Amino acid sequence: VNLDPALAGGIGAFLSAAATALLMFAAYQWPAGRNHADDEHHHHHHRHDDDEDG
Amino acid sequence: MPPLNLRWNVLGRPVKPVAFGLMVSMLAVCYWTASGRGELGPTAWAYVVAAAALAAAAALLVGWQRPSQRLAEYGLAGAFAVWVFRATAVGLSDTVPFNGESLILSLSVALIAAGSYTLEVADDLPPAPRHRK
Repeated sequence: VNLDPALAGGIGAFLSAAATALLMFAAYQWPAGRNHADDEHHHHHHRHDDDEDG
Repeated sequence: MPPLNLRWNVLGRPVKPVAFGLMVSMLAVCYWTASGRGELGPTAWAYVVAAAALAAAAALLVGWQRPSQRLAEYGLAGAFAVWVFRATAVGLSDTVPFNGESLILSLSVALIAAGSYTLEVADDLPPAPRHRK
């Protein structure tokens, strides 16, 4: 494929945004994803921002 | 699962090898795209990629050092986005002769970032205590 870089970049930006949205949705929605404890944090709207690990 | 951190501490935090490698890759992407000498050339999209890569690198660095779960996740997702963008743009554009190498390498790193992001989101462990001497 030999598209103009501007067009290729536009398609890349669109596909990248779609793929990232799908990844984030999948990581949070699938059963093996976000654990229940952190879901409760979400429910209380004060998810702690200092529990990074891994 | 048991805690799985390296025993190497830098600046009071355990080294995160995958996040560190992805941060280096973001700085590399940022350097070549911002200089206009990357495979996207001096195009507007190259500078968009440079800005996104720099933001992802900053999120990975700050997310590791604070530490911040949210920033760490943003950094990994950002790295995935940048590598998918680069794979697509490089694969489709005519700035370099296409032979698939750069495309597959970009997609490979995107898969690493996606896997690391998914693991980070699924991680229910408390933070590793900050190392004090």
